[in-house]
Amino acid sequence: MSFTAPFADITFLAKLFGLDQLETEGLAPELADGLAEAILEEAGKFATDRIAPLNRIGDTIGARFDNGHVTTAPGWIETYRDWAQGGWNGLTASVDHGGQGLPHLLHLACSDMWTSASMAFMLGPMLTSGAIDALAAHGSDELKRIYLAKLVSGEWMGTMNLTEPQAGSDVGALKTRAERTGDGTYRITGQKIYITYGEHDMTENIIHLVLARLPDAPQGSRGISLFLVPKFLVNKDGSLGARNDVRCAGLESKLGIHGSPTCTMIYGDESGAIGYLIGEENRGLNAMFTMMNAARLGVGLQGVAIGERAYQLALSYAKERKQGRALNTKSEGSSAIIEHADIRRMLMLMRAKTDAARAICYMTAAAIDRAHREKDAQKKKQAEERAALLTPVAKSWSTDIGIEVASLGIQIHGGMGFIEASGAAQHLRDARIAAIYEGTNGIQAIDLVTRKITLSDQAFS
Amino acid sequence: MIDRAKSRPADALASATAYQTLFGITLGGIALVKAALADQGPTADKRIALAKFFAEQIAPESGGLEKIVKDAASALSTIDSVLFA
Repeated sequence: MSFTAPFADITFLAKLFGLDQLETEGLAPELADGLAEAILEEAGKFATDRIAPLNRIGDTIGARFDNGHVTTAPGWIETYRDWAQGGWNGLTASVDHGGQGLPHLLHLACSDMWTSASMAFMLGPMLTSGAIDALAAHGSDELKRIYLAKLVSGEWMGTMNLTEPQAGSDVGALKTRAERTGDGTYRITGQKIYITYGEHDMTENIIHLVLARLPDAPQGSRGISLFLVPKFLVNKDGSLGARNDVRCAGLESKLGIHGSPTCTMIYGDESGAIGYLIGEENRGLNAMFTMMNAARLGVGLQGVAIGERAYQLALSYAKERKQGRALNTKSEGSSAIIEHADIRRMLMLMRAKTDAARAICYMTAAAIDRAHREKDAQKKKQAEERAALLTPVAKSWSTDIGIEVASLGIQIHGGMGFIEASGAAQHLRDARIAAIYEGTNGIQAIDLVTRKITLSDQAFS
Repeated sequence: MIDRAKSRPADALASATAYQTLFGITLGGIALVKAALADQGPTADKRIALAKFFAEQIAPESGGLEKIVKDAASALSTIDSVLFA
């Protein structure tokens, strides 16, 4: 069940589908002298040596809930601490906030390897990076000063609180309430479900980004505001203060990603959780889309990453397992199943589709980088439209492929694939959610045909 | 599809998922060809084989998908008789 990060292959594709062009056009001068290659090689080593061994224990033991506390699987705290101390959490964040200001595509290519190593492990950092983007783009200077540096360093993690029992894909139906207190803060009351890493023991504080509705807010999605609600309040000097009125009421029992705690969160059981407005009142959906777009590409990448790992496992099994005698075989006795035509066909489908999906995800990230870095207004707009057009395809097609490839991986294992000990089954169970969360693939298709292909023709060039 | 999205949005929605898959296969196939053409190193043969396999064994699905996209609205128009029978 070992996994080796394919950093040479990933480096080739990341350079071809964006990094080289960003560098030659002067949009990413920091990449000179082989910085991307060096970073990807180190990221690959961490994936192979440190994260990959956590994947199985995350699945079998998983995150555990006891009386409001969540304990992550053995080894997860230490590996996360070392990963964050390596500076990996802040690759793309601005230098002003303690990050390294590197291209999103480079970060995506690193995440590709870390996510193959353990998708459940990397979900926390993925959501933290969404929280960083939203806070950096829409937060007040005061909020940025207190929270950004620690989110960028990975010392604290961030969460994204949208879903409620009656408000899934229809986020406008949410009911969580926010009341003005008069001192500029808000009191948040309500229940949120499916909150990834809503509670855990990996960081000393957790910064929740929560969508809620003010008493006088308009109906539907135009009446939603975004709030920052810390698990522990933060004193002026940056030290941790009192526990905020937010708690985890339980974890879901899920098909996959068992290592990732999926929490029910209760805000305001007592006097209301203290929240701070991000952006303007009733403009929360705007701020939320900053998180969502990046997260959609990140979820697309999960399909690629699971595909990669499922392929490696199936390939290695197909070379070892002997059954029957292949046509035209020269060897004595029974053949390794990789000699059989149908097994070869399945392995090629897995490899070709995973590579194609990887390329689409990388192209999308390259367009995002170009949109951020282009100085010329028309080129910038063109890149923004290209990123907008490609994001639903990167999300949906890649996650469909993640499921298909993981399923083929089980098929190659034969009966053994249906047995959990082979490890092939975990990949399909983990991959299944990616076609659902961050906007189901059906919703991505609606977005593509109603909003994206009707953008200007420039997006296609 | 762009015309349809503007003038007959219900038809566009009926075929949206098949269109999205068609989009992915087309762009993904082009990407593998691009990678095969660009690779001058030791993995060049591997990339040519992958692009060839994609072109011959996966890309042909796009013909079927194109027909599914075109006919989706008509196919979905009569299904109430099944779903609410």
